Amino acid sequence: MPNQNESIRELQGLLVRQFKKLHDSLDDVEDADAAQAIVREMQEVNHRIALTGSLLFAAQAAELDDKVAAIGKATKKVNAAIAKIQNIQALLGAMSEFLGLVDEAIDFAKLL
Amino acid sequence: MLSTLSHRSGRLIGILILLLLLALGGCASTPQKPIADWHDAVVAVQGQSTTVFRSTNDLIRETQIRRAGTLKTIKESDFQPGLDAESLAIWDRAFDSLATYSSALSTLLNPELAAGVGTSTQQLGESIVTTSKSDILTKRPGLASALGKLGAKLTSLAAGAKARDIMAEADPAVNEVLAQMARMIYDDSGGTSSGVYETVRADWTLRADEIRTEFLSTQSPDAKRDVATRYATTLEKRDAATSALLGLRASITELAAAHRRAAVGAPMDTAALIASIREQTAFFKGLLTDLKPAKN
Repeated sequence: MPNQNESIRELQGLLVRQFKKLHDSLDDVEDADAAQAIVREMQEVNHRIALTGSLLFAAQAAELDDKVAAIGKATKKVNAAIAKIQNIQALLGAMSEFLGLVDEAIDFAKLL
Repeated sequence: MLSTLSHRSGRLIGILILLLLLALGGCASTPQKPIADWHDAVVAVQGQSTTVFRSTNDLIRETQIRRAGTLKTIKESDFQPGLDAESLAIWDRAFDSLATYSSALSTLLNPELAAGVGTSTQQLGESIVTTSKSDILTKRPGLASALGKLGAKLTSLAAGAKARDIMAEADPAVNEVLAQMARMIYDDSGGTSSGVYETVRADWTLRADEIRTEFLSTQSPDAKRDVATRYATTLEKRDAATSALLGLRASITELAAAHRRAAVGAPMDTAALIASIREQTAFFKGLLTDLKPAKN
């Protein structure tokens, strides 16, 4: 059983095929009134192609929104990797600072 | 005594290198530039889609207004937006999410991030030597700097490996998002054609056929030529509009392919993609005015 999006998609596809048939039928029409009648019919079918297209776009956008969440998770992992490197840098900096303080303490002790 | 201290500082520096190795993990290289290029391509395709979708909505609105001339009454559904604002916001959020993801990857692979660790490693090496009262840096003046370069290199390699791991893991999701976006524009799977492409194509075909019917009631050769000119021009506009949509779809598909290539360690090869997107965006921005149907 097709899901809702697939049903809308099939409906738009059906309308597109109907529209093409009407369009092709114009090739054999030489009477202006008959041609205008076909074009009016095409206007109505076209309007429904746009309506179903709009519904389909909205339904597919809702699906897209769900899929995008996974990209956010990947971004969090990248940010965690960046933070890890920054932490290593901070650790190295803190160790340098610590050793500097040790040197100062030793120098101070020598003065006593 | 001095010799013992030198030996100790050498050992401490060795431990420092080992610590870096353990902290940063395995080594594999992933260059930053292709990721930065991919990020630029994502932003460019987003711009391309904004241009194309604006043109699509203008087209649909004009057609709705022309159709209203044949109606007895009008209602809200006669003027439903072709691509509604909420869906377009979701579309933009998807691109924003891809741009944020690629921007973070680019930061991770930025040589400056690794250089920061290199500088800190060099400073710590110098501190260790100073504290141990060693003259090792006098004997080997380039040692601290070499240590810094090693720290930077190890960090860069580890960042590259991590970026590739994350890209490989995220690749199915990235591809799913981009494949969904490509389907929203045009989908001909299962023998059924659907998407924005079909809406736009039908709209322009209708416009051309409206002109075609005028031809049947036109008598003079000059007037016929005038109708034929407008008919041919409308067909050209239809082809330009549908090409814009197929170009956008191709750009999105290529973004997915470039990500997949990078995820398996192959070159992303984004330069051609970006050049193509920029060319198309400039072309379609120029066409936007022409594509707008004339008001009746």
